[in-house]
Amino acid sequence: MLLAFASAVTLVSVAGAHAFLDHATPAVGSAVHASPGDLKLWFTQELEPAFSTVRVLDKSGTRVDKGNPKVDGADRTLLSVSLPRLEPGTYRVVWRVLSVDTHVTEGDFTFDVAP
Amino acid sequence: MLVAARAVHFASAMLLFGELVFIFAVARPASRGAGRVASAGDIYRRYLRIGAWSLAASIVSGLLWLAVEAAVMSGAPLSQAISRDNLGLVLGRTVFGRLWILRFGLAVALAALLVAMARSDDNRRKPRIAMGALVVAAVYLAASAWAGHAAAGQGRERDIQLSSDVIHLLAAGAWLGALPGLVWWLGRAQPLDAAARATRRFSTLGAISVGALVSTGATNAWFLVGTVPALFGTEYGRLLLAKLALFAAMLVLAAANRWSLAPRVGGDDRRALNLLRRNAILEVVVGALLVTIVGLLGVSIPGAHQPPVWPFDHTLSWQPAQRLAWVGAIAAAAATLACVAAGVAFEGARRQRPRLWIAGLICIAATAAISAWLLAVPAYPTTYLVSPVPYAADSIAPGAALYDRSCSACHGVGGHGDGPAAASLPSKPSNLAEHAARHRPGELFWWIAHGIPGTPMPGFASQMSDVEIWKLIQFLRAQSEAEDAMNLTTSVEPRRPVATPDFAFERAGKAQETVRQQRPHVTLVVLYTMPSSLPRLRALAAQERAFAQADVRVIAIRMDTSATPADSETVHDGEFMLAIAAPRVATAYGMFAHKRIESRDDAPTHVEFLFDRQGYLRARSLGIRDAASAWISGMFAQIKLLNDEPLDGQSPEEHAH
Repeated sequence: MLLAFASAVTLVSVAGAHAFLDHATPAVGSAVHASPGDLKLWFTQELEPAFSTVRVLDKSGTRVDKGNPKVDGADRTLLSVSLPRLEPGTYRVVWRVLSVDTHVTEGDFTFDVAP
Repeated sequence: MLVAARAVHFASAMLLFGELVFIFAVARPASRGAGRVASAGDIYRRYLRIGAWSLAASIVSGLLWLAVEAAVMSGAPLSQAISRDNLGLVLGRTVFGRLWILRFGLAVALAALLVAMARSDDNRRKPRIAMGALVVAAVYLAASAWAGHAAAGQGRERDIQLSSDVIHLLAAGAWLGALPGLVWWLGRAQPLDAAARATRRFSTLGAISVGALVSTGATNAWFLVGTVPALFGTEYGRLLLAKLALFAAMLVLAAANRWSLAPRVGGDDRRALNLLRRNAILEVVVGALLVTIVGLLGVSIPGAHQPPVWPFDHTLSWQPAQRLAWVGAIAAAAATLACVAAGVAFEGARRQRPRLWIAGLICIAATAAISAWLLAVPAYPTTYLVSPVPYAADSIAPGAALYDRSCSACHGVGGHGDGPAAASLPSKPSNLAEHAARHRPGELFWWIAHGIPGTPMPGFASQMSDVEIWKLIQFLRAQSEAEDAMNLTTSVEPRRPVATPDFAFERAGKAQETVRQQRPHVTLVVLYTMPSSLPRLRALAAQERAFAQADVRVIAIRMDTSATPADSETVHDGEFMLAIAAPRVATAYGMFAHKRIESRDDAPTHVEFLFDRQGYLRARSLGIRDAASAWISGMFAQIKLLNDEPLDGQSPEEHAH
C-alpha cells in the first residue's frame, strides 16, 4: 500500500513538470528526416519573453541551436529557436519558461534526426 | 518568504482600503444623530496612524515580493537576482514588473494624500481627501489581480477571471479590512445604541461583501480548480477547502453578531457588547489566517493543472445506476423524496415549527446517505489521473508490444478475454474492449499496476514503468476504438465517431506536421504498399486540383517500409500527398484496418481513411478493389457531406466514453 502510494506520488511530479507544454515541432519523441530549420514550442499560457528560453543539446550535451530563442510577437504562447543543419542523431530539448502569472515551469524531451 | 511577503502585502492593501470603507459606510453614518461616539478628528487621527503603518508594511512587503520574484524568474540566488540588470529586466519587460511600478506609484500617491490629511486642520476638507484616498486605495488593491493566475488566461476567459478577481479583492477588503475599525468602535461606543447601529450597518456591508465573495470565488474556483477530484486531490484544492472552512467560521461569527448579539446590545445589555467585540476580534484573527492561505494559493499550481491524487477509497459514480436499473430507480426516488423534504423543511422554518423542519432535514440527510451508498464505487489514488502520454501512434505502437508480451495470453489478441491461458484460470479474464470504454484511464492504471485482489489479475508495477503502463492504456483505448471502426464503410454515416490517434509526418522539402494540425480540414489518410498501390496512387494524384478545391488534406504513408524518393518519381505529381512517417503509424493504424479484431493478419495492403473536420474517423476503404470502384466516384460526395457538417462537440482528445 505504501509502495503504491509512493508510485502515485512520483507520477504526480513527473506529469506536473510537463503540464504546460502543449505541443512542439518537431513533435515530442518523433523522428524527422530533413533537418528542421527551427524548433517551435507551443505552451498553454502566454509567456514572458525576457525569462523564457530553450536549448537544444546533442548527444554529448553540447548546445547546437543558434542561441536566439524568442517568443512570437503575435502568438505569445509560441517559443522558437533557429537550428543549424543537424547531423543524424538524437537531440534533447530543454526548456524553462515564465508565464505571465509569474510561474516558472521547465521540462525536456528528445527528437531524432533520421539519416 | 514569498508566501509571507504576499500575505502581508494583501493584508496591508486590504486594511488601507477597508479602513476607509469603514469610515464612509459605518463610522460617519452611525455617529450622526444620537450621542457622540468619536469625533471626526478621532476617526481621521486613527486612520492616519493605521494607514501610515499599513502603507509602510505594504511597501516593505512589496519590495520583498519583487526581490523574491526576481530570484524565481531568473533562477539565480537572491543576491544575484537583485542586480540592476536583472531588476531592470523584471521591472521593464514583464507584466508583473510593469504592474509593480504602477502600484508603487499608487502607494506614493497614497502617502501624499495621508500627509495632506495630516496637515489639513479643516475638518470639512478631510472627508474629501479621504474620498480621494479611498479611490487610490481601491485601485491599489484591485490591481493586484493582474499579478495572479487570472492574468494568464486567454481571451474572454481572462476578462471574466480578471473582473471576478477585482470584485473579490475589493469585497474582501471592504469586509476584512473594515473589521479592525469595528473592534475599535465597539470598544468606545457610548451609548450602547450607537454600537448596535454600527453593528447593523456593518452587517449590511458584510452581507453585500459576502454575496460578492461567494459568487466571484465560485467563478475563480471553476477556472482554477474545475473538478471535484481536483478539489480533494490537489494541494491547491485542499488549501481552498481550508480557506472555505475559515470563511464559514467567519460567517458563523458574523451571523451571531447580527442576529443574536446586536439586538441585545440595542436592549442595553453590556455583556452582549463585550461578546460582540470578542467575536469581532476572533473574526480578525480568522481573517488573518485566511489571508495567509491566499498568499500560499498564489504561489501554488492551480488544481486544474495538477494531476489529482484521490484521497478516499470510494467515489460517487453514475456507473451502478447505468448497469442496474433498480439502483437508478431508487436514486431517482431518493432525489424526489429529498425535494419534498426540502419543501417541508422550508415551510417548517417559515412557520417556526421546529419539529417540521428538523424532520425535513433528517429526511434529506437519509436520502443523501442512501444515494451515496448506492452510487459509491471503489476508488484509488490514481482514479482521476489524466494520461501524461498522448493518444498517439508513438504511444500506441509500444503499448501494443507490451500487450502482446504481458496481456494477450489471458485477455486474448483482440482483448475479449479469450487468450490461450484463459481456460485454465479460475475466473474468465475481463473483456478489455468493453472495460477500456467503461472505466477511467486512472482506474485501468491502478489495476494494471497493482492487480485486482481476489482475481487472477496480477500487478505489473515491478515489470513496467509508469509511462509504459500509460502507453499500454492508450493501446487499450485504440483497441476499443478499433472495434467500433469495424462497422465503418465507404460512406459517412452519423454513428458513434471513432477517435483517431495523432501522428507526425513529413512531406518532401516541408517541415514536420501532425495529423492533428490538419483540423479543421477533412483529411484523407492513405496507407499504401508498393508496387500494388501504384495505380491507385496515380489516380489520387490526378485529383490534386479537386482535393484542393474541396479543401481536403491528403496524407499518403507507405506501410511496408519507409517511403523512398523513388515513390514520388513513379507516382508522378504526388508530392502534395506522399509523406514519410515512423513505422509506428502503420502499426497503430493497422488496428483500424481489420475486418475482425481477433486476427491481426487480415490487414489489407492498401487502406484509405476519411477523417472529419474534428479529427474523427468516419469512413474507410479496405484494399485496392474497393478503392478502385465505388469509393473513387463516391469519395467527393462523402467529403462534401463532411464539409457541410457543423463544427461542434468535443475533439478526440477530450472525448471520453
